[in-house]
Amino acid sequence: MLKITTKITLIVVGLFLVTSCDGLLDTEPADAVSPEVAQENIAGIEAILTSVYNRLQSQWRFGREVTLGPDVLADNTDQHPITSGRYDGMAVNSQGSHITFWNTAYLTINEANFVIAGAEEIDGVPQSTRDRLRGEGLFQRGHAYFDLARNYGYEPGREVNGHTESVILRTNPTRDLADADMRARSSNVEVYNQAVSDLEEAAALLETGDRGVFFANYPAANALLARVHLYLENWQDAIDYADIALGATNVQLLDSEADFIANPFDQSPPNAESIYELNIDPVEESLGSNVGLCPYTNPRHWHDVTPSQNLLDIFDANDYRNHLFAEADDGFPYTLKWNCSTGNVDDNVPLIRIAELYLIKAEAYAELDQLTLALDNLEILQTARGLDPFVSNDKDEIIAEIMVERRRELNFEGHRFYDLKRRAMDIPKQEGATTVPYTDFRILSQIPQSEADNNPLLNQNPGY
Amino acid sequence: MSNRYTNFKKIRVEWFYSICIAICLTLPMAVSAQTGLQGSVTDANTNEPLIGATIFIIETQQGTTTDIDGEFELTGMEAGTFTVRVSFIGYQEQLQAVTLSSGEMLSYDVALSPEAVGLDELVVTGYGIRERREVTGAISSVRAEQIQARAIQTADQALQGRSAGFQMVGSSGQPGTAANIRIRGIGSINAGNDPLYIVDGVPLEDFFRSDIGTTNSNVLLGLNPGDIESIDVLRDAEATSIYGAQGANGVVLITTSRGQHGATQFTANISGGVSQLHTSYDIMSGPENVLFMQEAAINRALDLGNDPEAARQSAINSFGDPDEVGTYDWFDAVTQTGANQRYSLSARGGSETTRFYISGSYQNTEGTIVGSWSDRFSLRTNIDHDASERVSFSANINLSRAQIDGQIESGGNFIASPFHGAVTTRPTTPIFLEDGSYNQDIPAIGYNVLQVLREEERLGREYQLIGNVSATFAVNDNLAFRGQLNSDIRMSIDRRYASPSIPRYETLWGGRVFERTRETQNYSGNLVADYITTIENVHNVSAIVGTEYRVRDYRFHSATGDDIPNALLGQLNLAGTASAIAGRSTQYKTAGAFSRLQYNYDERYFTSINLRYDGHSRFGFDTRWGLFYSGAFAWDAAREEFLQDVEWLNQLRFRVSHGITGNASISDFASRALFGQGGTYGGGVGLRPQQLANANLGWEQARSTDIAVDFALFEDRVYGSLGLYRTDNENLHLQRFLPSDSGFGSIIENVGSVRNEGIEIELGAVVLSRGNFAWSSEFNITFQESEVLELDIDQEWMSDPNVAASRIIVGDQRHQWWVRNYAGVNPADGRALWFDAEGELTYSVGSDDFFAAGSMEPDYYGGWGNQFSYGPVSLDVFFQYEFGSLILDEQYSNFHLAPHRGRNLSPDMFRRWQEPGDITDIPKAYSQGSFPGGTGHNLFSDRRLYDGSYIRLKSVNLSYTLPPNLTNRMNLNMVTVFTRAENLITWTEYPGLDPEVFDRGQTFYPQPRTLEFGAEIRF
Repeated sequence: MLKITTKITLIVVGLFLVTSCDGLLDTEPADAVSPEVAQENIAGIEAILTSVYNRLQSQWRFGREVTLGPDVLADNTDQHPITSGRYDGMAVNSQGSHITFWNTAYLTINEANFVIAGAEEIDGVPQSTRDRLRGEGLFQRGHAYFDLARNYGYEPGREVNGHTESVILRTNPTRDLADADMRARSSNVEVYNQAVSDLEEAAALLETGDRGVFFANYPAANALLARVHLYLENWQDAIDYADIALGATNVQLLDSEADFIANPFDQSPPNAESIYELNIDPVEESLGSNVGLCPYTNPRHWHDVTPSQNLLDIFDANDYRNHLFAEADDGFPYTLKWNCSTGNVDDNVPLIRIAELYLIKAEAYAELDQLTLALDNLEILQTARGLDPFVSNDKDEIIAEIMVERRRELNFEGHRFYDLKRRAMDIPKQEGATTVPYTDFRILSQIPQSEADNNPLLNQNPGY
Repeated sequence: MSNRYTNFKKIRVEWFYSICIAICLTLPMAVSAQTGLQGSVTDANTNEPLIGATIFIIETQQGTTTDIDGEFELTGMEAGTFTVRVSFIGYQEQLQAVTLSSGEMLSYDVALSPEAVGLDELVVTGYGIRERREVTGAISSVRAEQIQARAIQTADQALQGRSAGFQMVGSSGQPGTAANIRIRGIGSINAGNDPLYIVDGVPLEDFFRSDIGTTNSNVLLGLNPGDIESIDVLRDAEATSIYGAQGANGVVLITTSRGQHGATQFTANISGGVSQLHTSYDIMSGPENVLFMQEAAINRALDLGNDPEAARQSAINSFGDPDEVGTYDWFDAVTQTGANQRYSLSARGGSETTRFYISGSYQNTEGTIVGSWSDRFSLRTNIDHDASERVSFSANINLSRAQIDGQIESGGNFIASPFHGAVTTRPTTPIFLEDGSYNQDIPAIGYNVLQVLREEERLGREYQLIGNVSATFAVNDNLAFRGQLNSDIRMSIDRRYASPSIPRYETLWGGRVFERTRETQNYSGNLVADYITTIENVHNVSAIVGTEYRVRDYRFHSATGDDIPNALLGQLNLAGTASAIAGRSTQYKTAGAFSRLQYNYDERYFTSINLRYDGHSRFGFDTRWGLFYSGAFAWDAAREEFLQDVEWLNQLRFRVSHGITGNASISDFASRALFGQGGTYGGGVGLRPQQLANANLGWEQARSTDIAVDFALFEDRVYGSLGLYRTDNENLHLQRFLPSDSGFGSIIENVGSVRNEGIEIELGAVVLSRGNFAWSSEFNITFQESEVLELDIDQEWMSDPNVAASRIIVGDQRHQWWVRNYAGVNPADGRALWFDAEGELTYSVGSDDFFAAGSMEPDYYGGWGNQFSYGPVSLDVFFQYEFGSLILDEQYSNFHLAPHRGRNLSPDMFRRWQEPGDITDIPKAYSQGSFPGGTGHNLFSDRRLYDGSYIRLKSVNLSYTLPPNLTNRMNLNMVTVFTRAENLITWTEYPGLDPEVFDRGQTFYPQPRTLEFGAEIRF
């Protein structure tokens, strides 16, 4: 008995000792990888680039905010009288209600920085693949900085009260805690310069090969440069890049009424006029039922945001684009651009359409007092839309008409508020609401308050 | 009782009894003329027979126990005078001298009085059992009768108000869902605040519970409350530090019933009842609502200089003509009277060496909202076997299947939730069309909420096995080893069927089926060595040394199918489109070694030291091990000689304790740098950075100190304890701010600390005991206050990660509502006025003008239980209360949203400003969320905060035990019939549905008022 007792005692004591071993706690995550694994080969870098595109679809970028917000903040839209509350604040420009995508933009930028750095660092990859990856990464970073610059700061030369602060620049990936330092905002000139240089390098890298309309591509990089230079009022640059883009793309303006009856936004993607388009897979990438473009604007869903009467009034009866509006059962109009074309709640989002290039050129020529060329470019678009060409020899009238034409062509696509802002114009509102003067602090968006509160180097925009 | 190995005295005595009884049983055959005792043992208050009471003759060491009728017979004695000791757990022991003559069977009936304070009551502690007098930590026990006298589904509901320092918050009325238990306040900020639940030594995994459409299922959902013998709530470091890891939030130890040797005793329980909402909302009538909309439109038109008559006409076009519209009470339509039923049958008994408790139960509870219910089927087997004098085994197995069916309730402001949609649908909107079909034209809501409740399915099913086996080997009378293997395995199958018969779902997906299977496997094992000895009769020493290892594996997979061709066939294989699949798995491991050393001198001076060294895979490689400890000292002054003469003083014990426990309730790989799933695009699957590494991430710690005094006076008729505690949660797992422009908004670090301190008072008394009538009463109150000591370096405050519109501010309470400061309505123009940061009145406030408006934490809370008995009738009346909490009630506030939303409105809106000079708190009707140039008057502000103080008559139980002669005629041992009620009356100023809401009350499902009838039959 004593022997057995001793044996058992020894076994038990032995078992105690076994448990003091570190290997007992070893375990590895099954659904995530370490940064080293993520960046050790080209597949990892490609996957990070996929994430960058996925970010663009978020409602905090083109999935809603940057596409619909600029129309709601200005005069292209009105709120349905019975609303579910979507964009109520933005519709009346209430303090703090503005286009918001700071966090998403920087998530995009950081991932783009991983792609840009990774494309250089990885061995054993053909130069063409390296160039394409780096080119797409730079394009996305440049595009994000441009969007941030126009939303959170003034355009250079258009500052109110000398406020030149723009956003924070980061051009290296955040790999560890030391990289996540606090930084101050750069000036609007610096941020615009960053956007321009990123897009210029992207254009050069993508010239030798790109993945077409659903990805950052060579014509799109030039088109975006044209848009950026328009904001910077570098008129000749805007014209030059627009010309490169027009030369490089196969896309043509649609010019028959039948095309508009069929609605190019509702056809199998891409939109026939798209130079660059977000291709949203409604199964894998749906934003869900409540937050996207169609849910906000379409009577199948919430229909909170309607085209304003003031917008509908600028269309002539024979304008083909009248076919892009419809009337819901309750008598309120809605846009057919976001008509749940790829699913029950989703639409592809054309980010650059060819029509914009003619408008950019027309405006830039007009500003350079080359009025004939301005009218020529305007005519190309207006004719294609079933209108008689606008005729005038007054520069201001021509520019005013171009601004109206931009509303006709680009409504609900995220231009209106920024078009007014870059020209330092007051923001007119739908009937009954008060105009927001250009000098009002509400022209700039509020940087997320938690950032301003916690980063002592970061100054909030004035008024907030 | 389980874990008997820790109390060797008791084990030795039991073995001894067993031997004695065996001898006793064989003796009658040898002796012709019987000499001995026979009689019964009953409860002095209720006259109920006490089954299993021990009768022991001190001089001869002979003994026996009472049978199921409470009767006994002790034979084989000799003539003489003996001391008889009659004892039963929970009752005062009785010693009496008897004189026997040869051949006499003396009739001997004993009535034992319940022990009021229960110094000899056994208290379950970590890895052991101790007598109450030995306990040096803060432990409150809830007994079986307090659990079983309630009309409840899960045992945790019986704890509320029963223990000081124990708070239950946000208990939902959805049957089967979780309560949030907070022991001594909320110390963590990012890590979990839930206590550790341990059932018969099995630690339960509280994550990944069924949660489809409702709050999580209850962690104790699989357990039948009727199987529970006791629940002990461990609060201070002395009690919890033996658990080291996760002891910081307190520990809830649940002990289930065990077999006893003797004839098998069956207990059947049957009850049924109904529940209803105890309160509801008033609504405006349809015409009132429409007139209000008109007023709002006119006010807006006047502001803008537009034609008011046109505005009125436009409002009529949008909202209807007041002379034509009807009134439809949607909230009334979605509520119902729920039916409950409970059945259970248990059997306990056994031989001297093998004892068992087995039970089966079924319960079904309907909620007070259409379509919500929960049920549970459970089986339990507890077996104890003594293989020899030194080796014993036990096994406990609980199998359960529970279901929860309910609608979206909390965790979002989903508009089809009955607490959002049904509250805010305009009263002019018919529920049904004339042909009896559902009205589908629901302005501003988009869903016919009643149809959604009836036709959308959100069903969670949980299959759970909680089981363990253990073996105890007693080397000798002083030393024993024990090994235990535990498993808590749960499979949750959640299903949502968004039927295409609901137009909104048809539009979105063509109907959708979502099914998810989650599997949580939680295995642990421990080895414990236990040593106990007494030196020179006064030095009592005991020690436990043990190790423990635990692995938790979790995996899930889910599938979503869209485009359902037939609304009646909501199955995945019929879905036209397979729209999503998902799945992942994760794991953690913990290992630890622990010891408890206890010493007392003559049961007057007690000390104990606990040590635990724990490692957790969630932390950095160099920081994953933590040492936790506690020390305690107690002095039982009443046992000192100089107090022996003070007859009215039965107990006076002072105790102090101090120690550190840990908290690891963060994500499984929180310390690692990770790249995870990054969405898809263009046919590719993305990868994106998820978090930065923090290799130094380690344990969050709670450092707590207790000082307390326990007392019992006047023959234990008055008893209680008074304690002070202070707990500092340190090295918090705080999401330290990182600039979002870095691509990471935060990183988890061990920074910051939060203090909780309080006073816990528990008082009990036998108020009256006269003849057949007795009234006893137990009261507890906890005063509690928290303070944020520090956050990150130089950080003054942070947003509360868990509660909207809230801040955590250094130097302030743990939680503060951070909102705009509403100043009321300008009597001149009816517009909302605000205070800015300088205290000046303004129409428009910015982010600098927010202020700390108060906390959701109560100032004090507690409970008051009363037990009355009069012969066979007993009545339990239990109150609970809470004072000083502020609630941000979004549900009620949705009622106050601006009329431009075109929704239902509260009749409180009649108080609105109407003409200059009106003094009121509600601005003028306005068809816009804000006045031009003004701050939105419906945004978060102190206007939405309400005092959540309440006193609630929580439960009443009236029972009657049928007379034994009647029962015996039916061949039954005992029959008790009862009626029970929950949430009978609530006294509160709170305007929402239920003040037991936590924080926001967004779409909160209030607790029901329940009435039940039933019977318990023993045979």
